[in-house]
Amino acid sequence: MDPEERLSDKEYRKLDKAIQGFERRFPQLRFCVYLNRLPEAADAREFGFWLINHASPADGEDQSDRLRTILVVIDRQNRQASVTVGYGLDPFIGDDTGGRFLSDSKDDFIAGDFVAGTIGFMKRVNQHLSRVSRPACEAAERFRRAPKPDLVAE
Amino acid sequence: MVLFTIAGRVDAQRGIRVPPRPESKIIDAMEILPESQEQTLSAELIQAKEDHGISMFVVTLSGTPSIRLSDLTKYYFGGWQDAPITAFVATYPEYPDKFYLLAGGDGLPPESRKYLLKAVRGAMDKAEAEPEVAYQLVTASREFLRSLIEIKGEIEKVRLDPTYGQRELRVPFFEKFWFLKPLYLALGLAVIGAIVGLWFLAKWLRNRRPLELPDIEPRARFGAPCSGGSNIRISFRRRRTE
Repeated sequence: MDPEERLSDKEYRKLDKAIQGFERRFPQLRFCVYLNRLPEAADAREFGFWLINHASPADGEDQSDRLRTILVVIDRQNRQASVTVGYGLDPFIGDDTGGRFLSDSKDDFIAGDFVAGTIGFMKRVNQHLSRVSRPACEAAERFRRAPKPDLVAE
Repeated sequence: MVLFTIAGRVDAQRGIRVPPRPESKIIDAMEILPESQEQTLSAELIQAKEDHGISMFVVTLSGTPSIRLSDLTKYYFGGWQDAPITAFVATYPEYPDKFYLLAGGDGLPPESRKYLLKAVRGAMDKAEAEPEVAYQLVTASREFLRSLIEIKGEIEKVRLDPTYGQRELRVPFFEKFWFLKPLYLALGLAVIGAIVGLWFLAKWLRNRRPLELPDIEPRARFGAPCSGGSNIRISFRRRRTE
């Protein structure tokens, strides 16, 4: 989302291609970028929280898709960036992990290269999720197969 | 100076009188060798002829010959040759080179010349290490005889196996390192390139295969339906430099 059309066509295509590649790698996930000027002193985290929970769904989008959405908000007014993830990604991208990955793109954002910064963040998330994907699925499968204790109501 | 008065072969051209071949293998006119040493050496020389077909004579002259010792020894050789290999160790008083060593005969092919020279040098080196002239003469004779026996053995080995001792011919480079021939090299590089390419392709495909994350039960926070928000935020204000 680039309401001010800050990105050139080339930059837009580059970012769009990177997002498509990410979503091919993780078909369950959605990656969204919001680039705009927020009101003075606005907090990008609050905006991201509002956007991911209450924005109208796009055509063909199911609300459950938002549970596995990564939203990057880049505020050019207050020169801040934030990341909001859906409930489905809470166990995999915590505040520490996400904060570290976003901080590594700081130099690109300072230089005004929002596309490079976002793609860099996306790559780090990609590597991280690739690493945790298999162990997480194996752990979930083990849990699913483990005999469940009988619950006795008293 | 006439060397010998006993009857013997006379070289008519030069008037050189070659004495009869000594049965003991030794003529010691200088009387260098004590009797016991002369007898011991004589026995060794006689045995060497019987065992190896090498007839060695030790000759010491009482005075300086009228011709060069080397030439005189050759006359002796012509007169006394009685084995496939005949050798001489000769000297006279004040001979500047200490001893003159000579070997020849049908049993020594021309190719053995360099080995004979080496044998002569070796015998002279060993003789010089001895303090007394008697021991020097005996050592030179024994060492020269030992070398001739060794050379004869090598000649026999070559006779039995003509390739004995020959160095292997150098194999042409591209026959030895056939894999470096341009065609083979190109094929080899292509195979290596294909393997490396396949490895990178496999890695590329592995990095692009779809991955899944397990389903989890969402735990809603703040009544939000999709996300409980996060505390992930950075500021990218330019740092002011003073």
